[in-house]
Amino acid sequence: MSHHPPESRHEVPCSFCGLLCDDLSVTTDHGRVRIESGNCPRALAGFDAANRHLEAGASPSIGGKTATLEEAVAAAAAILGKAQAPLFGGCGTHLPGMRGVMELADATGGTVDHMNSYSMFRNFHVLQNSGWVVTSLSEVRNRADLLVCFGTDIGSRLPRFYERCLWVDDTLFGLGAEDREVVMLGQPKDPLLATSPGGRKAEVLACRNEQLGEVAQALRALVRGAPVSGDAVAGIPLADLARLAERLKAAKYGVVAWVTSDLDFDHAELAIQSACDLVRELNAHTRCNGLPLGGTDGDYTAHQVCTWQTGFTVRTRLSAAGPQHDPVALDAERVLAEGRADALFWVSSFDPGKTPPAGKRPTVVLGHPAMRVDCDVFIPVGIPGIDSAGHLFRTDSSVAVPMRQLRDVGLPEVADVTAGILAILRPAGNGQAKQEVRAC
Amino acid sequence: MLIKLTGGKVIDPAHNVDGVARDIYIRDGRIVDAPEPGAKVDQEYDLRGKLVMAGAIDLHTHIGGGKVNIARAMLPEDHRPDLCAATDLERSGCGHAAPSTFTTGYRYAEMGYTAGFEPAMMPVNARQAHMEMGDTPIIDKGAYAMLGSDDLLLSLMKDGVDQRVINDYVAWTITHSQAMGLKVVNPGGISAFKFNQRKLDLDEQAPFYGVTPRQILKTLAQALHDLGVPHPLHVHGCNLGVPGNVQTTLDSFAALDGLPAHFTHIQFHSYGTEGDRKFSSGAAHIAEMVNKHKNISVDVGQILFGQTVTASGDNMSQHRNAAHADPSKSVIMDIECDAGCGVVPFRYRDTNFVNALQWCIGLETFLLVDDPWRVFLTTDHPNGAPFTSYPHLIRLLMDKSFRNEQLARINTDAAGLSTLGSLDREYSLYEIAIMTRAAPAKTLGLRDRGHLGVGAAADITVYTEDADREKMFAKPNYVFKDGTLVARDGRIVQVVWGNTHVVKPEYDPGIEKVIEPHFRRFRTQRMGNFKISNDEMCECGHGSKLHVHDCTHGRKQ
Amino acid sequence: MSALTFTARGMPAADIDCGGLTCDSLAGKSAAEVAKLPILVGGRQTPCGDVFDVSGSDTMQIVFRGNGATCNRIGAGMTIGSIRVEGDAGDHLGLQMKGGKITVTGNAGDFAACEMKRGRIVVQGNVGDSAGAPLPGNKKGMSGGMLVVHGNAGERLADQLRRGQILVAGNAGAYAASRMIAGTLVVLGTVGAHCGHAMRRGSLIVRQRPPLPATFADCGTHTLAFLPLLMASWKEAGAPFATLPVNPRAQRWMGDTGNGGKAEVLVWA
Repeated sequence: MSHHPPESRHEVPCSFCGLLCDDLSVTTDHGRVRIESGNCPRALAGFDAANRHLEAGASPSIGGKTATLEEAVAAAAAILGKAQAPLFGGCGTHLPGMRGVMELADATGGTVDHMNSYSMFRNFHVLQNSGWVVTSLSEVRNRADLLVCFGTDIGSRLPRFYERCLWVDDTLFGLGAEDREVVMLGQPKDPLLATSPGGRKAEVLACRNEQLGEVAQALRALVRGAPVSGDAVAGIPLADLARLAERLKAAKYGVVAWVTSDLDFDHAELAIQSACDLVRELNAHTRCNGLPLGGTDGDYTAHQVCTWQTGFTVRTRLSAAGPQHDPVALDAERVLAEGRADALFWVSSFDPGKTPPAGKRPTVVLGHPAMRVDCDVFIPVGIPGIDSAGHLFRTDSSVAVPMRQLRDVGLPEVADVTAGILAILRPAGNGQAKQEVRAC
Repeated sequence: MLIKLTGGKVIDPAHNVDGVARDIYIRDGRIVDAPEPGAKVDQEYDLRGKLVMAGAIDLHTHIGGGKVNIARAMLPEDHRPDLCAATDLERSGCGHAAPSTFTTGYRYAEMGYTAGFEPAMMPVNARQAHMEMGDTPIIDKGAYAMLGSDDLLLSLMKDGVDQRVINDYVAWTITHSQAMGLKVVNPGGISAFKFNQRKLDLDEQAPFYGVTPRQILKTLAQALHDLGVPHPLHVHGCNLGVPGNVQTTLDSFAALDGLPAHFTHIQFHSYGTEGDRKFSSGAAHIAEMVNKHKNISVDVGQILFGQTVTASGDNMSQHRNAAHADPSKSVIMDIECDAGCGVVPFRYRDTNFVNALQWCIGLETFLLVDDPWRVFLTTDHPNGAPFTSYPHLIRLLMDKSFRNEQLARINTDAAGLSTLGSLDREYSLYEIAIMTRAAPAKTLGLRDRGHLGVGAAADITVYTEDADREKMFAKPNYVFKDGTLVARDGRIVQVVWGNTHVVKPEYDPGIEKVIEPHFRRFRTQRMGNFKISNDEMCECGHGSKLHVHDCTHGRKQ
Repeated sequence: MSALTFTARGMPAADIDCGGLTCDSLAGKSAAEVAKLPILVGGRQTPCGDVFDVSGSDTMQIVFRGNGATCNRIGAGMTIGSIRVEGDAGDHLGLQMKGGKITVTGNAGDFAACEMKRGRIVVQGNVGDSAGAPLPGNKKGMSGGMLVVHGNAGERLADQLRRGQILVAGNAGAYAASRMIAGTLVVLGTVGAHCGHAMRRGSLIVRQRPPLPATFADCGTHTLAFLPLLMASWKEAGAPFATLPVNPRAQRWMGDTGNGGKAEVLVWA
């Protein structure tokens, strides 16, 4: 534990949601971290959880019994060394951590999936099937005159979104907070989160989120001047939708935003795709962009690293025939439920509550120091942005933020643990007995 | 450890050496003088009868950054036919149009390339570019930072600030995005597209800011010259892909007013509007200008037939091209008041008139530009074709009868509109060595690469001569990277991690008084978290070294 | 000659890639040679004989026996011969097949007839989700041949179907005929919610009106001359398709107008 006097830092990035706001002021005092500025509930919760283990301490364990880090690494290596079908799940870590996970998966022929894939693949399917026209946070801040929230209120997931991206008066082209309109389609939890500083409320066109695909298709028809049957779609009066279509065409820089975890229904990717096709078609008239939002637990970081290292996003197995990507069959939950994994290596360093799915197979967890979990080997690791520097990707994918190390309370890095395991599995000079299959 | 490469026929244009048999000595990763007689040689390679060149350098290849990764994520079907399993030496990956990072490094090295440069690095996305390049083994890398549609530059120009302020901003950007040079993509056009403008000609005023692409080109070229950055402004010009853009390109050359500049993937900017289909070759005009004006260099951006993906910062052009996407999907992005990107898969078909003529135009350009020091071999990977097609391209340039055989197979209308059939020139090995080694090193200011003189880094490629030039260049016998043998006969034998090359031009730190408020007021990231430190660079790349090159070539103020 | 038979040897939980075990690839091989061939089991190279007892000799007639739902890619890319699955088949049944016939006595998993080009697949039981749909990244699904399902189909049936016919005797789940490009889908049972989402062209033929989006327009009841001809092509599919009363009258909906679609949903009157 450090014995330094309390230390203040500014412009500290926060790792607890996809916005990665980097304007925090933070003090560290004997390992205790505290936000001095602002009241974002997610940031506060994340920082609070980061202090939880300080009293009791956090140490590695094997079968529930305290062990040294070295012993735990050796035990983890023993589990992975025996496994024929290891699953690398959770993947709640930062860029160096994910590099470590990928290297270990590659060395053991493992399957890699992130705990948020059920949500992310709603976007990935669209990316793989038709692509999209999208924008990023700073552009929204300076240009967006109409924001359509598709199945979300945004703020419930990304608390500071409106404050940082919409309710700003000092912008490049003279657009102020009151020059912008917000419309919510679907089932926003709390539409009032989008009330402007001047009191203007978001308009809500309510329907069940499951019906948003039909609504987006209807909007497409209205934009192209094609017929729509009846006088309501999913309960929304057709006249209201027609008005929205006109507003989208008239907007200078319309933005259609969604949060995949709010579109929590089967086939949500089709609804997202229809919304993206609507956006694409609006670009024949004006500028319109999608804005995929979300992100927790290092999900988009895992996606980026896995993609550049293998060519495929997560739900990929590093098999003897090269990387195999299968969004359906390599879903970690399905793999575990069908008994197709004989070892689970779970990483989850942002949130002590994100523990692995229950089940009987040898399990190694690299977890948040306050995590309590029943597993064969537990190693507490540093929390990105608190104990550990290393990069995270923002929700709009174009910005990788350098996180900061705010304290040193002796928690190891994920990448050091994976390196330690690899050193045991592949002692220097001996390659592992992998078949030389050069498919290319 | 002293390594001796014995008796190979050295082709080293930087030292006017053309096929002279000589020994090369390597120690500690460098080429050294011949040792005292009787000195102990630890390892010797018998290269008698073989050809020796420096490792090749690709000065324009999209190997790292957001748009490259978007291409990968979008195209699982591109990867499936070309999967690479992990071995003792190599990580898993995949190849073809959007290869994974490890595979990219292995394949470049197998082909005798020892350096590659990402040409379109958005400053806001620079970390990702460096991370991806950091996971690209063996080859050295670097990147050019993109400016020209970023709102800060356009604001400064609108405000009519002094050139020195621009220079400081440019130098600051290059330094803190850890770049090797500066690129401008569709100057002002990426910004214009965000305002719903669909084209921006050279002398057209950009929306809101009122500056013209001509002014942007001139200003940025001047900045690099004043800063003494070795590589001149790297220009992806206006109107990419638009029939008639040859005139835009010629006018853009002239706009520089004698300042040095490098025009990239010039093939895509060399289209006339003659003939029934209003699409013709402008290569002869371009070549004439390049021949006449020594301040201009170009890389061709050759297209080759087959499936690939176009990935570019030019969201305006890519949005226009998205209608021709094949398969029919695309990603267009507006990014962070910085730039944009567009990813559009594409299939070039030899039966298609336009594609066939594009193929001719690229080759005409190679054959009509006289000076191999100022024309570079690129396919703008992957926009024209994947980089693994370079050996095929080299064969087209060196073997006239092979070239004419291919010409006979393409769309006949296109072939009829091209002068390619009458161009007899065949590139010599010496000229290929210039174009792929000596010249890229020179234009980038890499003093210790691209040649085989004493003091050079031991990046060395050894070929067995073969009349089939494609076969010859596809699988060099030996590839050395900083003195370590990394590939033999087209297969990796050892993996090392290459270096990152940057320049750090001087600037007045007072420029941060302009930049910091801009970030704070208008962007969603603080300036302090935008700047990339040298320590970060080491983390990016498996502990590989950062090489800082001098800015001395030009005049400083 | 007895059929080349693969009998499961206590199926491992891992997925088994049976894509290399087709009449095309095994032509001229003996059972003993086949047993030595490496196949991917859980992504690892494994001798075929470790997971199957291989017997018989007629490589134009392959039988899989006693399999769990872990045998994937049965019949992948095949062009000739017949494969019979006695029991269940896994995912990607008949992936990209170009000819020949596959019969499954039990159920098939997800992505049956994925990108199938020619040939015939008959499943006596149910198929999972995404029957006839393409692989990730691809935009065109099944483009020819015929898939016959005597049981039910899961969700996203005929997603991005490009051509060919899919006949389902039972029910179909949600999002049937989503993004359909062309071809024919027949469902004799019920059809789930969001049927026809983003449909482009092609025909969905049903006996009861399915839940259609607002972007479908009722075009009234018509006598459609092509219907009897189409139904004649179902003779080979056997009952119940071959024995349906020939009826040329149907109520016709067209859509999805959201994407300029001119697909039709026909409900037999």
